[in-house]
Amino acid sequence: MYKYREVVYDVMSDLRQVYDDKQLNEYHILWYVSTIGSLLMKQHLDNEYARTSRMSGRYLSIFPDVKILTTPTNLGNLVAGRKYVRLPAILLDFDYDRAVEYITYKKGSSTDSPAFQTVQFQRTTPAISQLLNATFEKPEPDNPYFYLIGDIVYFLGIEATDVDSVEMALFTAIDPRAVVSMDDDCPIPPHLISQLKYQILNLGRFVLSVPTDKVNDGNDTTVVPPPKQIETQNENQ
Amino acid sequence: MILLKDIEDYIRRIGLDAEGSDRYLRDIDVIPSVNASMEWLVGILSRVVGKDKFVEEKLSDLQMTRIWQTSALSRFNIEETLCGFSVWTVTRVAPKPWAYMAGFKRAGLPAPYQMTITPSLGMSQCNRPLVRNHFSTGTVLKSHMSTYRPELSFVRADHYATLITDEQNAGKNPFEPGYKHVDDFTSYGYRTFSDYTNVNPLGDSVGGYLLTTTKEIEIVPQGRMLVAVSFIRVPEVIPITADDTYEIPFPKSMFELIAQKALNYIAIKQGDQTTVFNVSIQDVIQQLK
Repeated sequence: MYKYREVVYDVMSDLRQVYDDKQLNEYHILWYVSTIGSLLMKQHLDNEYARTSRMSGRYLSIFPDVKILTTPTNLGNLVAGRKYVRLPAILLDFDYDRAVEYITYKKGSSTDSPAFQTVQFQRTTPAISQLLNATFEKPEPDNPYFYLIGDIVYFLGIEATDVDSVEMALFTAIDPRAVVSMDDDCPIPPHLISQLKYQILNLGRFVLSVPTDKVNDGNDTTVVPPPKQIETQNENQ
Repeated sequence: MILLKDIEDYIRRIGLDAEGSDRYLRDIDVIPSVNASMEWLVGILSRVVGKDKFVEEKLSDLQMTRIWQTSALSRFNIEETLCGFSVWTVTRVAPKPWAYMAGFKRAGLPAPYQMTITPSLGMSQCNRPLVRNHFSTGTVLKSHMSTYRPELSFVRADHYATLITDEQNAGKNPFEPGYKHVDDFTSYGYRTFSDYTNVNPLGDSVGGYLLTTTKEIEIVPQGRMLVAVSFIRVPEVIPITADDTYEIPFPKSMFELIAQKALNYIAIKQGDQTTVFNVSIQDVIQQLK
């Protein structure tokens, strides 16, 4: 896997070949890499899902210990008393919240149970949920649900339990604010780097090129309309 | 470096045909005209240097890199009198540089040093040895006080600051210099000299801070840190008592320009439109093309 150092400086070197007097810093290039890179990852996963009805774990991120919270008062999207977690990363945006691959919690002691002996949360949405219509649908600790509101994940069925954290597997976008070092791994696979670079250079070319008639050169370019000429009748006619 | 004696010989033998004569004296004619020639050169080259920040090898004898420690307000003043040199123009500012310190050992760090040091390359280099006291006066540094660090030599830097204007709102825009990201992605900026001190008419108990030297450079994002500054120093005035071994801090390639301009000043002093005046000014113009 390539490092951000290689990807960022590769793009920066190329942009500076053309725009050597522009102020371009590493974070700006990282921003380009993250936005275009996330787009490429989403397109890649969309295509894969269309072909196979699955999405590879290649771009999956696991967050093993996301703490469950509650709030005593309503605030924005937060509802008092409901158990929730905040998404620990920015999700890629897929249909039916498919960016959330799974959410689980461990029953009993977290040390003595095998890794996959966990309870998985089923996905629902507030709009279509009719969870009390059938007994087998009823949210319970063995049959819990989650639903997504913005960047908040609410849980149903674990209200009366002492579960304090969940494990989440998410398809996440590249968050430039979460990159802590140039030597972090860039999740874009090598075969997409050329496409990433092409799109960033195109974006840079568009952003950095200012048409000459838009450059402020300090000259007064106000166009004064010419004085209206008064037509005189030809006396000979 | 150019020997003053060489320029004097050139002026006497080539320009004035006055070798062995007491018509032109070193302390009255030669040294003042060479001093005036250097001042004129500083003025001419300032336009070039200020515009492009590009230092040709013409000024290599005047280039220096020294290290300062900023105040908690992220500012430092050069304190030219205490440091022993004057800054002509700043060519590079490198925040958080790696520095070489003779005899440096991480264990048993001397008391004046307050920060944990990250050593490198055989324990001879470090990048955060901040001190508590002023290098010259020894006073404990208050939050608005910076200090020169004469015991450190610049080795390398991971960051170089770009010059920003007073109008740039550094620290708010993540894509501009001055916004604090993680270290690898932080772009540093510096504002050139400004006087931030203030005298409170109501008394010293309330109000702004005072400094002996009031020209400060500010680094963004803010913090108390080491800063390596590369700059061109102002060439010192040649003392009247300078002897044959005195060296002028310009490279040999500038010899002709300095000598011809000095000759030109002598011609001006003679007060007439002599051949020397016309020939020397033509030569100066030729050199500047």
